[in-house]
Amino acid sequence: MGSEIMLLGYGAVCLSMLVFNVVNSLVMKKKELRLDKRCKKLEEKVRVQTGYIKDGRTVEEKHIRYLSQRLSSVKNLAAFDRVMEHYLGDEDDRTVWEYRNQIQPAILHLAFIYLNRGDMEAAYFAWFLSKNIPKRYQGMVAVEEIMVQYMKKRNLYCRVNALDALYGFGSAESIVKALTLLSQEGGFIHEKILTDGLLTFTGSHEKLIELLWENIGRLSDKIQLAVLSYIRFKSGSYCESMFEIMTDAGRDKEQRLMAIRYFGRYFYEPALEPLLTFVSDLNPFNWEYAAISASSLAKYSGEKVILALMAAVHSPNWHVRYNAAASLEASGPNDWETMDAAGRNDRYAREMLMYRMELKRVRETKRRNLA
Amino acid sequence: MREPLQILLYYVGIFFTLYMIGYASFLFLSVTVGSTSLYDAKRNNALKNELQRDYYIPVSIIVPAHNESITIEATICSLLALDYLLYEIIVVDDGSSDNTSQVMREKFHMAHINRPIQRRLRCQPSEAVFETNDYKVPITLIRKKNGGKADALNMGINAARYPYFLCIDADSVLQSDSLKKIIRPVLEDDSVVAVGGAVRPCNGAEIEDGKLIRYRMPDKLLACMQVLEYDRSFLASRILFDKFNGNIIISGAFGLFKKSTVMEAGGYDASTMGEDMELVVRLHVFCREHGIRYRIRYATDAICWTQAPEKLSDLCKQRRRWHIGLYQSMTAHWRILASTKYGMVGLISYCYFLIYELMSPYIEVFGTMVMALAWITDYLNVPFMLLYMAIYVVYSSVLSLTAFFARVHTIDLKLTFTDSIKAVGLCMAEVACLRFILAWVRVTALGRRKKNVWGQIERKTINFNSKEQREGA
Repeated sequence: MGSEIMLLGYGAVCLSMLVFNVVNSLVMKKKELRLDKRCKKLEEKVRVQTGYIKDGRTVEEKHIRYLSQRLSSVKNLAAFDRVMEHYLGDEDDRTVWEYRNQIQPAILHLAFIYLNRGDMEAAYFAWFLSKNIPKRYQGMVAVEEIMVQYMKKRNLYCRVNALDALYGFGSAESIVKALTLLSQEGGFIHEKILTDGLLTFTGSHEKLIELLWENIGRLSDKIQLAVLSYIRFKSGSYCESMFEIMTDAGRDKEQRLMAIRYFGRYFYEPALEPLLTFVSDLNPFNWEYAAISASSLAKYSGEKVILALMAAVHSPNWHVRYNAAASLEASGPNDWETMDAAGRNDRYAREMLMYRMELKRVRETKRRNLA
Repeated sequence: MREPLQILLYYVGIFFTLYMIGYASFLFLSVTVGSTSLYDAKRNNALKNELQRDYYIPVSIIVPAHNESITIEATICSLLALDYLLYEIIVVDDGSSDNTSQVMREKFHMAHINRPIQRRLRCQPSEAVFETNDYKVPITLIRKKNGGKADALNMGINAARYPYFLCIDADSVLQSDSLKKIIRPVLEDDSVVAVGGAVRPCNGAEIEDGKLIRYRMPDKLLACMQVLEYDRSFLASRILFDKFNGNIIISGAFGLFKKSTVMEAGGYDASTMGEDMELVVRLHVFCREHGIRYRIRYATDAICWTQAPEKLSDLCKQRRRWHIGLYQSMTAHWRILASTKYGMVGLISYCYFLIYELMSPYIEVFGTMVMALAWITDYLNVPFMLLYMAIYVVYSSVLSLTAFFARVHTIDLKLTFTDSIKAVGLCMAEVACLRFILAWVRVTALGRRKKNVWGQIERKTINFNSKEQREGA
């Protein structure tokens, strides 16, 4: 009998779950209606203020207070976001720009309020800010300071959204502070997220790279790697420093590999010798250095390079052979005979070189057909 | 004579009561956790608690194909419509006897090329390689000697250039945002070695350029019942197992893997028919035995649309194959059963799959036979049995519907009133009839074990309607 009661009890709970589904669906619809109402109300208020701006006046103090109070509720913030998107979406419009700037005291207040809220709401505010800040606005130092503190939150999205907002502010100092704090807190953010994020920075990349480089020792290994990757995409002026990293056997392996990749993007004469040494290294434990160097050598020319690559296509490691053949095709001889000579007496090397030549032939045929 | 029978029936009764309580509790827990997680995910999405920008980790998409000339074009078109920048497509034609390769070469203007492929994982040799760079991403077609699906996947992994690979079935299409969504767990946690996506039957769905534009319950009743069944299993148990890193199945129709870890673990096992499950169990075993920090995740919002069989004979073939695969995967890793060394995977996931998946058809058929025996010997309390059966049907139906509607609401599908009624009616039929038919099919599956071969199920052209297909037409 006990089991029947239990089953019936479970059934009743499940039935209530089903009812919950239906009710939830109705509530969602109602919520949407409420959001529309909120949007309309906010839009009316914003219209009045933008009207003042058009008349040469400023946003009323009362409106700032209203926003500070109302937007501390995440529901109203979502409605305001919608108003910003639909009504204040045109950033190039002077009135919109002015309105966004003049409500900054309210934003500052909200940044502080949401810093002390739960992670989810804080993440939403950070996202709101990243989306709605006037780009490259210089008067946000206080907000920036608070956004840096968002790095202390354990929520990944909160950190990523806060970083996105900071990239939008365009202040190199804040980015460095945020990354340093993130290193101290020991939080994980994927290298790809950091690199891609840094590339969207709206301020001076030159200044940001300079500051990051000055503070690189204060960053965690993973963040350092993301920074090196970012520098690789943005600046060719760090050859000497990258050279040091590449040749420093005590450095983290991934960082050294990143430095080797750097020299595949930017030509630097002194890097040639170490690259040739790496590519000729037959130690199977060092195959990654050899493979990436083989790829980077595509940027370099000369007999030494060709000879090293021709030797590398005989490497027992598949990746080294593959990259060497690709670099040979890009920077080396263009005739079948030389390529054939490089692969002589070695089926694996010949296969790899033949593949590159065939690819080239297919590409050229396509180009001719298109012409 | 009557006394031993009475004792037998008494103990059988106790066993089934415990069995049903276990099953009901698990189902209840999994549906509750699953539905709650879906609503949480919706709230997270509304509050932007997910990665907002697009980050592109390079992915190789591997499509093993065997006699897929009817569906392969739509599948590749769906892959070309993906809202993602950095990926490649590798189709492995596993010795098809139809014109799968020819369709690929002609539709996508592929050129024959002698590409060397590093054979790190054992597989049958390639016969020819074709490539094209005319589309937004490179497409490679490898024609090889027949060796089975796992063998084809191993060839695809060998040819993959990128650090992560995604395998999808040649009769499935991806929603345009699914690659972006299935890669998110990797960006959120670098210890993730595999991610499973949600597989949904595409019968009744209208997809244009990778976007679902209209959804109806399928016309065929069998396909309808499978929609309910897929939602129950994908949205319930997988979400629950995901909570404690205990998922031991990632559907072969849609799964993302870290290439280096899979290679170190030995790739797909070509000797099993359940290569997808076997690989995931092996990844658990490999990572735990080598002390590797790892996570196997499930991405509920990454959706792959697949064809559900519309004929009972095809469905039986499919389920027979799945059951053999399940048996092979489980027997290959007996040692993790209830072993604390393998954590919750050994203690909960493996035990659950053993009792409620592998053994369940035998237990259910045994139960039916005992009932018949009790009825013949006049020991059966018929009204009680009918009440019990009714509770079981209503209970399972309610859970199926809960999972189904939770799914519908959280991904904003619009269902017509008729479709909702259809779902309510068919969930009972699924529990009361289809489940018993499939239980019998599974009972007989192991007796018919064949060597590892591709299952042949009637294919239909998928209504994908992509830009490439329209231009081709």
